Amino acid sequence: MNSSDPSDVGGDPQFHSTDDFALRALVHASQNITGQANVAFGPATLRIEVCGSVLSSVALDPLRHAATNSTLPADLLLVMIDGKDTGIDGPPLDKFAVLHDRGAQHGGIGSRWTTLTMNEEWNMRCLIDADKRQAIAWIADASTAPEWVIYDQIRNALHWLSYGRDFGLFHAAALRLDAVGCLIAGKSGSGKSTITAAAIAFGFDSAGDDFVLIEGTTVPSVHAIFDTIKLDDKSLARFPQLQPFVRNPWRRPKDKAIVHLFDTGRDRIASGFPLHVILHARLTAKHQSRIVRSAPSDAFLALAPSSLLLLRGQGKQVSANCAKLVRCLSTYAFEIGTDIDAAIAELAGFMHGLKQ
Amino acid sequence: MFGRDDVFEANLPVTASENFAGESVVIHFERGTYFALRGSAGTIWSLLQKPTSIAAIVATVKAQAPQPPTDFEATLTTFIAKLVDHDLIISSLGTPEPPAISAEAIVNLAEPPDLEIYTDLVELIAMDPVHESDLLTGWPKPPHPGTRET
Repeated sequence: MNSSDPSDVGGDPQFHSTDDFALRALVHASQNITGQANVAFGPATLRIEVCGSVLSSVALDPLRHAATNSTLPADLLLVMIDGKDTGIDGPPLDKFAVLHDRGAQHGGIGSRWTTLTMNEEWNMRCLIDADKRQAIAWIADASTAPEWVIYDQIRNALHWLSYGRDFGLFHAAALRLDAVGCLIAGKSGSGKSTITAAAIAFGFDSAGDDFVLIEGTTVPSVHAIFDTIKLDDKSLARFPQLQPFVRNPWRRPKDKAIVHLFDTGRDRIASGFPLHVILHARLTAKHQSRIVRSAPSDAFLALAPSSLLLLRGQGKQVSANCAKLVRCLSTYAFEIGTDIDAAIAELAGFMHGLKQ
Repeated sequence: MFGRDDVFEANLPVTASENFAGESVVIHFERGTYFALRGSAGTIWSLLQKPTSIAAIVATVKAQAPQPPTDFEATLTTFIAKLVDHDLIISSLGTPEPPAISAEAIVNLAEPPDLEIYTDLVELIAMDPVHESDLLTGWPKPPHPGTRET
């Protein structure tokens, strides 16, 4: 450790090493929290402490459904820092290799890995030390970054927390109707969000439209992470009832509108329900939709690559988790036609059939 | 170029693969590419999980199959070249082992190997690099132009 007084967080914004940055960030956070929450996603708990008013709102609002009053220690402390708001600079990348004290950083053989993820476009860095149960996410300016950049850090922390645990994160939507749960897999643009929004309007419950946490028990159960639905302008136009709840009306043209389900009604967010089937979604040009039995390998193709590549790191574990899930659930192809209402009717009929 | 005696093995450090009833899916998590291996491709991929060579595979197939598939060696060589191109297998310093091939797999080898290539997620890798550290390398090193670290 080569820092000077760690409480002197304002005088020397250029940190000398990653360890120096981590120490000062944690000290600063303990003294300057603008937002905090204890959240539980099934078997995983986080304590999130945020420094920065804009960042507090963006980071914590999508997690209100998961807030817990538990006084038990969280599995991981995630400190989130807005560099512009706090004056704390991020760790300079060019000093990592030179100044890192390898011996001190890693406790020894068997130590779980640490990781640094970066979003270079938005100058965001997330330092995770699973051994110490700490993660520090730093962003240069939260007021200019799209929300998903900030959500990614929470997702990333949960992902690293899942290492060696009996849960995993999956790139999929999850819906429940009459006690039957389904996972809808598919890469971005395959219709997961539109189907989720339409299904909620129909009467389904949702545990998420993009990423969900699944506990790998005999019957897998799914937990909501974020309460968001992300819709492009065309899809948003289908749901005028959601328009007043859009959080980012001044978004960039390529960004999707974000709606917090918690704002529209807490009871729409379901968590901890069992899954029975995986549907892999695909948009078609046909009017009607259909759901047909498919090979497990097709479901895996829809679920695993995007989960693995979006989560980053621990690739073999993500792949194994996806395979385990695919092997214990029935797999179907959901060919989504242009008539979304008909697609939801098809899905509802299918799930009623499963219940019987 | 490579020869029939060159030794290869699956590039396990950067790939994850799963098999579902004979069909394999392989994900290259450094490049962001992923692959569906159909026909006999999944069987050949399974043979490459340990160091082996084209010569060793062909010899084993000939010894076990009453009627080896026509042009099997040429088909295998072409498929191996594709796997090399996509960095799914790499040269190995290991000793080539005669692969263990089940009777079911021998039958499957009569089908042509089909490698379905997906590149739609490659951009995810480029836009959001991850830098992991381990006991040997310590904290991440800064990225160098044109390279990416994991």
